[in-house]
Amino acid sequence: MSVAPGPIPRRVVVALAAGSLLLTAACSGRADESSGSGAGSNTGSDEPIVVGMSFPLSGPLSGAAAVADGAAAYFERINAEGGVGGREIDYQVLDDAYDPARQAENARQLVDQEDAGIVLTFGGISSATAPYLNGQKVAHVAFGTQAALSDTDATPYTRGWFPDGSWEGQVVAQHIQDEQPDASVGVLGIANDLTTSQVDGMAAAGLTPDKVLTVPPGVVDLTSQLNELRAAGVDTLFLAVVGPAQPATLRTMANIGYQPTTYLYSAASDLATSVGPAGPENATDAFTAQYFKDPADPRWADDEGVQAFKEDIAEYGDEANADSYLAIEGYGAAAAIVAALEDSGGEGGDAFTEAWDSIDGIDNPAILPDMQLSAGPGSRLVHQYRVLQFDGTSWQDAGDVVDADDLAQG
Amino acid sequence: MATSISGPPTRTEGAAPTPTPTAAPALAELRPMWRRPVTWAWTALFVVALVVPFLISDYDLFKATRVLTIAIAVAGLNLLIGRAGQISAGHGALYGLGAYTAMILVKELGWAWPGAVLAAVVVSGAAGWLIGLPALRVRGLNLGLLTIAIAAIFPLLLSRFEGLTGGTIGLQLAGSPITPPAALALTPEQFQFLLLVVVLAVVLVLLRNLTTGPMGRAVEALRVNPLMARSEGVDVNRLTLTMFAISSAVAGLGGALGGLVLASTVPDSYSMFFSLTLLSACVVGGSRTWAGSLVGSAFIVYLPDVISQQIGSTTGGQWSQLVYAVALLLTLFFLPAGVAGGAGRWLARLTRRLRRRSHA
Repeated sequence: MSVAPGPIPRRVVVALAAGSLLLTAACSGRADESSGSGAGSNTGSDEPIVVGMSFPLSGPLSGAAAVADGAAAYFERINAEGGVGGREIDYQVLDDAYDPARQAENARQLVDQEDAGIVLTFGGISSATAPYLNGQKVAHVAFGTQAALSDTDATPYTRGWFPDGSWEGQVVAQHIQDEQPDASVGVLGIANDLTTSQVDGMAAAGLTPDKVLTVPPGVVDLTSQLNELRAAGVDTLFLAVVGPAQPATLRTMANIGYQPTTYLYSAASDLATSVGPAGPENATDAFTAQYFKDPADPRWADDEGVQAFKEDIAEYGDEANADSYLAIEGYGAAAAIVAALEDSGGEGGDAFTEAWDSIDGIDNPAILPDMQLSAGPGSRLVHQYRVLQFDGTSWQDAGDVVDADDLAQG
Repeated sequence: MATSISGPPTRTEGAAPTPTPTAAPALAELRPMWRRPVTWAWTALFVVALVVPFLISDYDLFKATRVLTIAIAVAGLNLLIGRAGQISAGHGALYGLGAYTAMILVKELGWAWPGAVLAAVVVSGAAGWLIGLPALRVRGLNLGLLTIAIAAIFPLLLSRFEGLTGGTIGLQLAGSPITPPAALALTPEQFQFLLLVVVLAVVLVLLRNLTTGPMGRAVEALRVNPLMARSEGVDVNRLTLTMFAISSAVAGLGGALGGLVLASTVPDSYSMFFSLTLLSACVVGGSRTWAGSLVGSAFIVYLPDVISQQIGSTTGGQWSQLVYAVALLLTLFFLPAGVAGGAGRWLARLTRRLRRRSHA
């Protein structure tokens, strides 16, 4: 082996390293060195409002790009209508591939270089970015169900979109207790904080599941877990797996003839990715505790909010997302953000969080009828649920609107 | 991967038998350190690195600092893979172990960051020594699989021991504890970058010295043929464990500094995917060159970003990933010894040809 590098190659290697370092510096060294003071320093009356977004556009969770697409479509619509108080929304979407380090970098880029007054981030990893944004006093809207994202004492500039994951557990538990008090309840979920918080919520409502099974995200064949649940005598199942596992599991349940009363996780009950692929007949009579409208559900074909969403996503976004539940989540979030911006005069930082917290009863295109956005527990705007039941083609009401604000008290 | 275990393949050079190539390096090695061009080149690079923080924005520095923390871990991997001929697909876990150790000590026990970083180095080194134990019996692909299992289990353990690690949301500090002393008029980003430059320089010098001289020859023997090494009087088991421990301690050092600069540790940061990314940085940069650790880290940090900025969109689907994968494949195909190794070899051939011409 005469490959031990001699000095000549090494010298060359070093030159290369020096070159690469300088190159990387040069590549990323932007011309504008305007490092803003953070919190919405774009105060001028007709300056654009910079909204930074860090989303997984690549990587295992790149499906969430649809959320960003929905939000972008709403911002575009607002711009087409003349912006917020005459100010255009300049939204910047960066890819973080669901890597916390890249999200943290993106947050710095958005604040330092783009001068964003508001930064939107996706997922539980948002809690890693929150301290930086809070230190910079930049308003932060995090798309996550984690309880940490509603801790407005620790992170006063962070606001969570989506309800807290534990509330759904409470609503589902309450519905089970009302409908079949003697049920033997099982939970089949994914091995992360989502299922943990849902089970915590069930416990808070006084229901301890008899069996809780979790699988890592990405595991699709859950036949053995289903058999285990059946063997344990579980007759009421909260099915909270995500992605292709949800429809696959519903199909398997039909195949093996295991038909418990089934509650589907709200974000995995839509027609386009869950119930549809499962075969509607395999999901008939299933329940879900829902807060958003599923744009693919024929029930909302004439709904004003869903129609506006479909028009906007076709015109400003990716038309393929017209049936996407994720996209309407982002669309609804953008509507809430614009509402807060209108109140804050386009400012981020304190003005934005104050405006967000003072939202009290506004309509939103994404949420179910008879619900409104209002700042509730943990400053979350969405905290009302309605239990729906699938009739084979559409999700129909199967209960009254339940507010997590009331659940928290009792 | 196989090439990195057994060292880069030897290229068959031009048919003309030339005595110079073999003689020249030997002569150059005899020159004192300070007269070697390589010393001067590294020094120049170091000086440039000391000037850079005053030229580019804090955001770019933050990103460059991340490259340096990863480069430290990749240097540790280079020692293990390129020099000792072992393989680890689990260095992301050791990087994460360093980050979490430092973070817990700073956040929960209120340690000063230098102490926490040192403790993280010790903890990761000890963990690496333990991982090395099975490596005494298992080699090659089996060892790769075993270390992949460690990489896969690590984030699950972090989520499991919620009381200690903060569970799936991890641990965060309000800001990085690595702040410049008041006497220095530096921004935190400038200070962190300079600190990392110095740390990386020290690490590279130490690793380089470790792999030259008697120890280096023992390591080389271990890589080429452990049986031969044993017959030459090398304590193969002890050396393997030492290599694992040092390599892991270095990875933990990178992780500890990375975690504290980011002021956040989350299980999602240290997924199996991250371990494999480190491995690809090692191979892409060139596992047998120390400069390769820098090149490889820059590759894995900057390339995905550049690609995403060019073609990433909310509607573009997976194109950016596909382009990155193609770039990775092409690099490995055309530069099997890594970017630094391949470019080095190419330029060596060029200088040799020039020298031959000047001799003629």
